[in-house]
Amino acid sequence: MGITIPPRSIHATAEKVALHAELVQDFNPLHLDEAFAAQTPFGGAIVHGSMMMNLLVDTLERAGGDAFANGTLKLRFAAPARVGETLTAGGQPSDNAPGAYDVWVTRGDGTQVVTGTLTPAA
Amino acid sequence: MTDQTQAAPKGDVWTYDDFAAGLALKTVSVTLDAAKLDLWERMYGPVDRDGALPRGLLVSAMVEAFIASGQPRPKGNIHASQSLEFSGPAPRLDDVLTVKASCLTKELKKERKWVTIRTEGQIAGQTVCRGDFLIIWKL
Repeated sequence: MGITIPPRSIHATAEKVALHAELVQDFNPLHLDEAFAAQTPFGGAIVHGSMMMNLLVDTLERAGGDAFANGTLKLRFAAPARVGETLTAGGQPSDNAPGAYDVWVTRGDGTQVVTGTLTPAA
Repeated sequence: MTDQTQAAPKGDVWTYDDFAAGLALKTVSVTLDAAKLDLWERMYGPVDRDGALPRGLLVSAMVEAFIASGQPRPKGNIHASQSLEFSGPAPRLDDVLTVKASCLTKELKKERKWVTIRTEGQIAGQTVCRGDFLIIWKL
């Protein structure tokens, strides 16, 4: 049951992260300033959580149209992704909740950086 | 983008102590204009500008409003989790999303300062998106 969600990827280069910062007007140096970010526990600049969220929402809307777009998404930012990583969004029907989908964004090494659940609109 | 109400921290930046459940932050309006579409297309590819725009633009506008709802804020806040709910038709070019933001909860847990900001976005008086931002606040 359920539909297939074709995965979509974005190469989260410093240029793309800077575009995202401008799009959402979020200039937190954790994402844009390597010298600042190197002093944090992340050890370097990381991609905005909101950029991963945009990729995921766009992937879900392309796959499932309004039913997906008008659903409810619950997401956890499970791990950081360093600037320069390739991020891939995807999902599959959930084994636990009928009608719902497990959704995610992975980074280059396959680690899920965003995990969550989509409950499509009725 | 316009700010319509005033909410301010006691000191130079918003800290955990400035928040209280129910506190209203600034209401912010964001126009889904051609400049934003240009940025979007450079990241995610072409969009039909005469038709329905991607909901991702609503997400972006909601994030922008959330960021602007309480400034300045400390460097190094961490976005821990998020809920999102959309309703109604997809947005169109030059729609204005007006976002009300407020503090839903605050909680000290494992020596970390957790703040949940609730946002609700409307276009022409119709609610089109809601989102709760759970943030680990730096100060």
